[in-house]
Amino acid sequence: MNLDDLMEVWQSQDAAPLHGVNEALVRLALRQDEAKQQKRQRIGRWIFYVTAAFMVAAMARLLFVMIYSHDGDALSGWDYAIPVVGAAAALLWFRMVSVRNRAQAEREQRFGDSLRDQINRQLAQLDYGAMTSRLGNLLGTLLLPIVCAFAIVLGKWRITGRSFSDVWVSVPIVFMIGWAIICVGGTFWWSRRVVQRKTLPRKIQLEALLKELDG
Amino acid sequence: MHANDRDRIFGDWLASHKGILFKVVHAYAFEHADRQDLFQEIVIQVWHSVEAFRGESSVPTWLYRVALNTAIAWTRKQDRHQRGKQPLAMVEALLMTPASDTPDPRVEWLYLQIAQLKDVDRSVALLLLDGFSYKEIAAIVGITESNVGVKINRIKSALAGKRAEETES
Repeated sequence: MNLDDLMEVWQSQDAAPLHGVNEALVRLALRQDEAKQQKRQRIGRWIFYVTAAFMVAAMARLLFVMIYSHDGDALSGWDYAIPVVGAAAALLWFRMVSVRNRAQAEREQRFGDSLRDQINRQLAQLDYGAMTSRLGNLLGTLLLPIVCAFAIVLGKWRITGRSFSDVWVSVPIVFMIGWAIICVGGTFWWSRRVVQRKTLPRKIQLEALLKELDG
Repeated sequence: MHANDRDRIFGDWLASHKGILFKVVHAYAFEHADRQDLFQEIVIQVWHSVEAFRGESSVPTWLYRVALNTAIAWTRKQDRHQRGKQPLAMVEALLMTPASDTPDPRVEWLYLQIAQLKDVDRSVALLLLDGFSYKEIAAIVGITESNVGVKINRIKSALAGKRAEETES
């Protein structure tokens, strides 16, 4: 049997496919998949927007309290800078994360449609995931929300005019420092674990596939 | 693109070219449940790809491209059974309905031989058997035409060797 015969045998499947398709259920599966994807995207977007809005609102409230509900003589211009810096940090964080996500989406779209492009796109996604899990990037991402949190505590401290040795001031600050360390450390540990267990093996597989393409 | 247009195009593609999807499914998945899973994955990707189709290639070429990309990604996933698709479990079992005719044993033999090839060679074999040119195969897979030639020679020798071996025995 030569290649032409094999091709003829193979193409006989077009006239009599191996299976039928239950189209109604295929469409149901598509709707479910689409709904699931939209829900996931909506939740991610909302968490991001709400976090940024919450941080800016907290800073605005702090500034409001400083201006209207407090004896202005006790506060200097530097004190008023606290909520302004906090709000700027929140906005900068919002902008930074949006720009980074958009840049990654554009990067992924630059690849074409071939199998090689598909593999390269997946590698780019894995690299992005691994990159965001590095300590430096993690600190960069989490630092600004931490600045906001510190601005709230610091602002409150200045409004109440309490001494730093006051337990009601020092305890929340120490607690926040501890919380920030736990958050950064925990996220770093968890991300490294994911990279080691899932990302790296998958990356090795994809790189092997790229080699197979060239072989 | 309007949702109705997308639905119509997807329905047309599925009606006219479902054979391509089945060929890819059979070449990359070997258990019944895996075939249903891969078929669903491919169908979902084809659905998402409708909007990206600009008519720069023929529909079969486009479908092969989407289906092969999905199949290769699917085979490389280690945790493909833990992707939160449990709600669709009942649906999955029915997406692909069995054919009424008994499959041609020669077709089954071909699938058996294709299954023994490496992932990329399997893609090349499917495209070769469906009559795609070297140039088209190179564009779909993303390799040079000379590399396609090398792979096709290897596939042909493997098939011929296997045939000769079986004839002797």
